[in-house]
Amino acid sequence: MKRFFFIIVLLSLFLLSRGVHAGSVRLSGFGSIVGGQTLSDEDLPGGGKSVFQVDPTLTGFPDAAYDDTKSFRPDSNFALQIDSDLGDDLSITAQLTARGGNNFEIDAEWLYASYALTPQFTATFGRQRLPLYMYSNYLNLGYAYHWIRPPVEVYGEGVSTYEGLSGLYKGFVGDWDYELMAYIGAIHNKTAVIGDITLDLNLGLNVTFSNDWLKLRASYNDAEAWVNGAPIMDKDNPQDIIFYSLGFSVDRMNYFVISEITILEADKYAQFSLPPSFVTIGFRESWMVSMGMRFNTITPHITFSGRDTTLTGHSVPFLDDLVQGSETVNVGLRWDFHDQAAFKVDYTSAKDKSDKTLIALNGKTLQADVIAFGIDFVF
Amino acid sequence: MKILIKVKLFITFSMLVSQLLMSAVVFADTSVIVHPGNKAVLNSKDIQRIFLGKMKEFSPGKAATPIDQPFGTKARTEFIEAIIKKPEKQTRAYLAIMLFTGAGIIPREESDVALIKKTVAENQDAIAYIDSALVDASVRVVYTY
Repeated sequence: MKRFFFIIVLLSLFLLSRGVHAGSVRLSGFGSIVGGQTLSDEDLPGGGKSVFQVDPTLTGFPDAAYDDTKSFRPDSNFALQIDSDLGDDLSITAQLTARGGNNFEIDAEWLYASYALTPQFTATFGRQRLPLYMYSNYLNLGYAYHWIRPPVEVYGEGVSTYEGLSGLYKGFVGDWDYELMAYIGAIHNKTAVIGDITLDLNLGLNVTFSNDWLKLRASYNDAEAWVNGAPIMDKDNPQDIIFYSLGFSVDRMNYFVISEITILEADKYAQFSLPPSFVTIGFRESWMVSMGMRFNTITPHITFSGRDTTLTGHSVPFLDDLVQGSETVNVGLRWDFHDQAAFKVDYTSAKDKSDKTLIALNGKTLQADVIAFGIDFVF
Repeated sequence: MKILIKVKLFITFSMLVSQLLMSAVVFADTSVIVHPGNKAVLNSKDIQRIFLGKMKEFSPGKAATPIDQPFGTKARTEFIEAIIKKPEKQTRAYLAIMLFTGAGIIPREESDVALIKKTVAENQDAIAYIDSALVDASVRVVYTY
């Protein structure tokens, strides 16, 4: 059904563009072909072994996590983008994506109409990436960053797209450029691991200032969440969830340093999937610092990241105030062997830093060492 | 005899200097061009902003449409070095992000320099960069490097 829908969209775009003289259609795309496996894992009390989950929007999908068997799926993806300029400042964009973790089923990460109200202000309506964090907008666009994947503790959010309306204002003062973005909308996911979830986005804001080498970014998002049929957070009892983030990047010719800190605060009955179970959480913080050097076509880099989630005891009282957490070191190499493609290898070592009670209960679910390598390309 | 050597040395020296000067002129000779009716005054930061999708008008109401030359051409490489001021790979990544996140429309690429000049000569909103040797009265130069 979905495929059929996209074929219709594709055809309409081509027909529309042919019908309008000012119009032009542009076809482009990107992808990653990555393989990897865990080099060490942890035995879990239930009899299983810890895995390395790379895409939390696909929690529960075995292909979205690395285990001790080689897999070419968790980090592999392919996207095809069709931009149709209809003239008079109106354009339509569809980005069809297939992710290995999702058995390469075709989905649309972006499907929107964009209208330039003024040269500085653009309104966009439709399905878009949820721009919570610095790399949210291009999580799968491996070609644009140095890692195989941005640090999962910061960027591994359970949701990545929303449907709604956004306004983007671009301006500049002196040597500085700035972008202000506001958005509203909703996220529906009938097949989320937690159930049929809805997030009603009350307001999202983000602001970016940049000059030739420095970029500063802050974001805020306030949403109400409910799960159909969930006893403590159904539609009549939505839970408020607030995100904040602060980030910066320094990008010089030969080196770069990037960092981002994110905070999530949730109402007391907000349930989250925290494998292997669901818990209510109150507070979550995550951070990452990454740096790299550029030697012609070779970019070695190192990244430290972490996440601490403070649980509340509203579904299971003895969990109150316990912290589930992990810290990860990632070392990697990017080799720009081609103008439109890069080879990468990343070694990731994640340590489970959860409270002892949680580890006794679940084992070190977040602990694993992973090696992954592959190529990213754009066309 | 000594005088003759001196004269020879002098001539050789002046030839060297003049060649150096000439090559310096040749090196600095790319022109950023607009339509002759376009009276915009642009510095290198303005040009950078136009080609990175951050500035969409020459002045209020006067749209700016940049035309790039393909990556890998001498002209593009020199433009990135002189105006964009980022490594070429970073420039490619920047444009990929712009394209795939809906952050803007990336400039169209054209390899036929004669066609670039013709497009600029015929369009009020066009801006491009070409070898200064090719500049004639059909276009107006706003910046050289």
